Amino acid sequence: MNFRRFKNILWKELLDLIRDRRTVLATIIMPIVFYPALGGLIGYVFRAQPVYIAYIDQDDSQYSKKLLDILKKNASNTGNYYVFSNYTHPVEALTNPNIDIVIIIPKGFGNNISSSLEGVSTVILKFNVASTKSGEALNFVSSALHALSTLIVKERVRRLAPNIDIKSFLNPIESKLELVGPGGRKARPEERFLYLTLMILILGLYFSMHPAISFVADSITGEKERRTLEALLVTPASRLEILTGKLVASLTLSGTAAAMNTIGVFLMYFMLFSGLAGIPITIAGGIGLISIYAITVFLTITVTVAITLIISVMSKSIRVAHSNSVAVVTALALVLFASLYGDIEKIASTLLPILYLIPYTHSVLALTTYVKYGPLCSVKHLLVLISYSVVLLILGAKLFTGERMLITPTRKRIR
Amino acid sequence: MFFARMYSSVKKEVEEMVEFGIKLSELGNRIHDRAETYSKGMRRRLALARTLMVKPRLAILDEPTAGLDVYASVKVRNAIKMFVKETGSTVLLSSHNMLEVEYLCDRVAFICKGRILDEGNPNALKKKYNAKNLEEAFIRVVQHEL
Repeated sequence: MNFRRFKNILWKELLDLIRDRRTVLATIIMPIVFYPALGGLIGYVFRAQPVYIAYIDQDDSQYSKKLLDILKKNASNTGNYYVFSNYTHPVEALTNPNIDIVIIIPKGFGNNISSSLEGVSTVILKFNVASTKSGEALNFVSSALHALSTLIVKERVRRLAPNIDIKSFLNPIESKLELVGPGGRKARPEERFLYLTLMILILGLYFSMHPAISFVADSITGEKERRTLEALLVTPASRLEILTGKLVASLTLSGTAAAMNTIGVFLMYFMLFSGLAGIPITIAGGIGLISIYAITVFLTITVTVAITLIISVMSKSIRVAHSNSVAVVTALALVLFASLYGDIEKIASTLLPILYLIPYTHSVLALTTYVKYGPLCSVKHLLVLISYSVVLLILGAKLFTGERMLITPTRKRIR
Repeated sequence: MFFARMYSSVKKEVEEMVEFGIKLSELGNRIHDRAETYSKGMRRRLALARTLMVKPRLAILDEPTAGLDVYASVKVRNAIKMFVKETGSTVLLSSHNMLEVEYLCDRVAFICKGRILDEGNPNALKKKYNAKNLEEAFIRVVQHEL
């Protein structure tokens, strides 16, 4: 291989890359600007969105009034929760789409509680399925009901045994929660968010792939379509020099994208938690997780480059190369989305070998195994990603023959 | 510059190639503009100059003026003439434009349906077929074949 010619091709490709504003924008600006903005916006919207609870008291007893007091007190302590008790009829509250949950206290509620030591009353909860905050509202109401139930039980216990220690009587078992990390080590409090961190990182992996697809499709099929590849192929440069120049430029893009994506995703993490919790939360996995993520993004993009190379070599036009590459990569990346809902390693063993054939499975496992077992297991999956990249790049190089590139028909022209 | 560097590592040679390419392209002060801003004719001249600036001993040009307007076609023909005059290289050119062929070529082959029907220098062919120009000669040669 002639190094001078390789350097010349690489320089040309990098120049093409810099001139391609769309790719530069997608590679650098998007992760740095849009990811944190997305995280901050999601966090802010989630936090700023109030929870509306309608309270309809048809009983007007001391217990129904007590429940309303508990709800209002908790709401004022927590903030962002609003309890409306001015509705005169359930229909009014139920027809208001902004109400997340409607609490109906039926007649006889207080009577049932106070009539005997075993009296049970019912509260009707109308849960708005169309609201994003109904779940939160239900937890809030359940907590208030639990508080009222505890008060009632305490009253009953006092009536039965006035001298008893009620706290011990009601809680014969105490639980002590300790956070543990991989290998049974004591985990830090912020590590409670490790699963959420992984979800954000896995989502970031998917977004990192797309600039590489555009660049490689343009670099190979785009040159073929513009008929500049023919001129390149007739120069003294060998096929290996041409392809290596193009691939090294693609890997430069991968490296840049990996760095930007890592910075962007972690900024998104901070912004999301700032929005959700009001304070930035330290990254659960620390520097180790950040490093593994950066390497995983780089290798994931490299695999994507290799897949796009194969598709581009065989495609007629840049549009076909781009759309086919996006389709194949997205189909393979379904494993990323599936992994957001569960641990791939825990699923049925019959499906696991099939999933192992998908390169992006190892992108996910590189991250999850790092968190679960430590760096060594992660390296195993990173090596698989490297192997996939090498094999696919060799296959792409074999297909990148002058004959194939020149004879494969380009897009049919409209006559 | 990129293509010149593919052929030589000597700076002086690269510069000479580029200078020759600029001269052939006749792009004037537009030479520093991005190729994507060029007209079709200018792009064709640029592609031709890129091919010929390395002074190949044999240049194969497939319909170099196809689809170009009169002005651009004249420019391309001038570039080919200039190239041959300055380098003494051989140009193998295919064209449907017989007047262009007559203007540019020293030796001509009439091809129809993949077969060479006749060949020779333009004047000899015109004389042989008693034609005023090469277009007329071509019609006379191929009329029995179509």
